[in-house]
Amino acid sequence: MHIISGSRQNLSDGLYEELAAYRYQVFVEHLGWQLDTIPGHEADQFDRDDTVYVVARHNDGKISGCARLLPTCRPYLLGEVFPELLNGLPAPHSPAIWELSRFTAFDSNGQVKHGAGQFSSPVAVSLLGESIATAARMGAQRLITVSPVGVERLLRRAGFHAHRAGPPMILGGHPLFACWIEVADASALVTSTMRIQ
Amino acid sequence: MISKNRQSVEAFSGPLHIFLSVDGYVRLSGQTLYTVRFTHLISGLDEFAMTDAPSDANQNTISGYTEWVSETTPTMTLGWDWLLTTGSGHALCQRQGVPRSNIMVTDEYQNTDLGPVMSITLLERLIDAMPWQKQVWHSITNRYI
Repeated sequence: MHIISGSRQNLSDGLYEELAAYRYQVFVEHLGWQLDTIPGHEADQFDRDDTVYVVARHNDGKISGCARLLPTCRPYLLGEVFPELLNGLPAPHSPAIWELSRFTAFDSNGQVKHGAGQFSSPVAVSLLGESIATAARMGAQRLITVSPVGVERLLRRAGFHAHRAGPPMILGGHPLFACWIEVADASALVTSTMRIQ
Repeated sequence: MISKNRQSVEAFSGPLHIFLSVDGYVRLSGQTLYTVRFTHLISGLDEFAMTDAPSDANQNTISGYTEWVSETTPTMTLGWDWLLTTGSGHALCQRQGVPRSNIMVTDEYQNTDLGPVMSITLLERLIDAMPWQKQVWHSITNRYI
């Protein structure tokens, strides 16, 4: 497996379309998310020219995981759609804070771990580590993400410094919360973590 | 009252001095913490743990999580893992691991954080003094059975 990152125009030819198809397969078809999107192509208003994607691929080129990074100094998912998860605080707006979203690790056998389980596989941990490293290269000191309850403890077990930004709320029938991931602590973990080749 | 060491969004809950800080932590003294009432939000089973369990896993244990919130403004959140073990006709439900929250406990004058380690210790004591097991069991049976 190898992991690459970049904006839409920096990804190789056809990869962004592949990624959109993969996201549709995972989030719409498998997880059942009710998204307003074109069949077979998952994208929303936060897939912009400045959006950064992190894509994990098997050696045969098939996508096995992805993540999306957005700077909080421009519109992002938590700030625009889920601000109630911040316990009354204003949504972060800083070049040092990035949002992690559309995170998934879908393995080659077609098994997707959803909910809290999506952070438990070695591929997911590697993907998360690379996502954090990518955000750090762009100046991020913290990440924030909307996640299912249970992700926080899995992130902690994997050695990441994660903590909740507010109380969980039941949204769409699922308990979600806003989670901080401290980049500085994670960067040290990433350098000591063996990457899957 | 605003700490001289940090910025706070002043948010009082009646006679209780509870502050929501810009770093996301809700700050209050230990004395105040033990007067706060927490209500059950949701509990669930460790579904991923169940599917990933080794073949020799103890079949007499069930694990899960539970989330509680305070009846205050700002809202405090408190979550922890639990383990239910059965044997010899008895069932025992115990807290597992450290709690997760947005709470930072301060000294009585609310000028100094006691820190994450002491805060967790105080939260553990709070949880262990709460009669939470019955509520969690009721929630689990309603949700999964």
